[in-house]
Amino acid sequence: MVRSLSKGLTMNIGRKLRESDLDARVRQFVYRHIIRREKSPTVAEMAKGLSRSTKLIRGSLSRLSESHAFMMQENGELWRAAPFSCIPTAFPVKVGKHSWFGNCIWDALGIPAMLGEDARIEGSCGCCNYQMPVEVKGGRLVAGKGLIHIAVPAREWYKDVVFT
Amino acid sequence: MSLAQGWKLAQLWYGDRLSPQWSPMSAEQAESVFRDVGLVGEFWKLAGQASAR
Repeated sequence: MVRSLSKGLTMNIGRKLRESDLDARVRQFVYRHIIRREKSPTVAEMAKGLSRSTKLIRGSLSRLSESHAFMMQENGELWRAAPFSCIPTAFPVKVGKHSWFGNCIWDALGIPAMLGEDARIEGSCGCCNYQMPVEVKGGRLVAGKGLIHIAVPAREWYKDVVFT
Repeated sequence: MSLAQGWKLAQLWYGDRLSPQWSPMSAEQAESVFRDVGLVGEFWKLAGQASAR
């Protein structure tokens, strides 16, 4: 009995390590793909690129979604790989000739912060669509007016993330 | 928050996101980041949440 408990524990630890390794690889694959191709990979592309089954990839994405850094659409594809939105939003971010979308102004600012690059964010007011561009240059905010309004307290952000 | 605060928050929050060693912040770590940016008070509490973003 002691031998089977020990074997079970070893298998469990082994499985956790394999999952952890796969999750790290999926994260890196997704970010590299988004940065290079300006769009998120599909689950099928992740499976092919990482030589893993779509079942394993979906399991990994589910674990990566636990912290909300990754979030999935109802169709099973990525909706968000923070700070990138995987669908168009009102926060387009231009870095040189490349462009992506942020989910909100915080995420949009997160793109030049993550990449360490100059960027222009074509933001707009959430209530009236008034254009409110923001610019980052040399690691500094060099243009932009207005305030960032967060309507929902931090502990409730993920109760309805679309509203937030 | 001001845009300047938003930029500082974004840098602290996402500056290391591409690192292979990145892992989600705990609620306490996230609250510490908020305090560094000047975001304090009940609105910015994450008490009871395992991790943030």
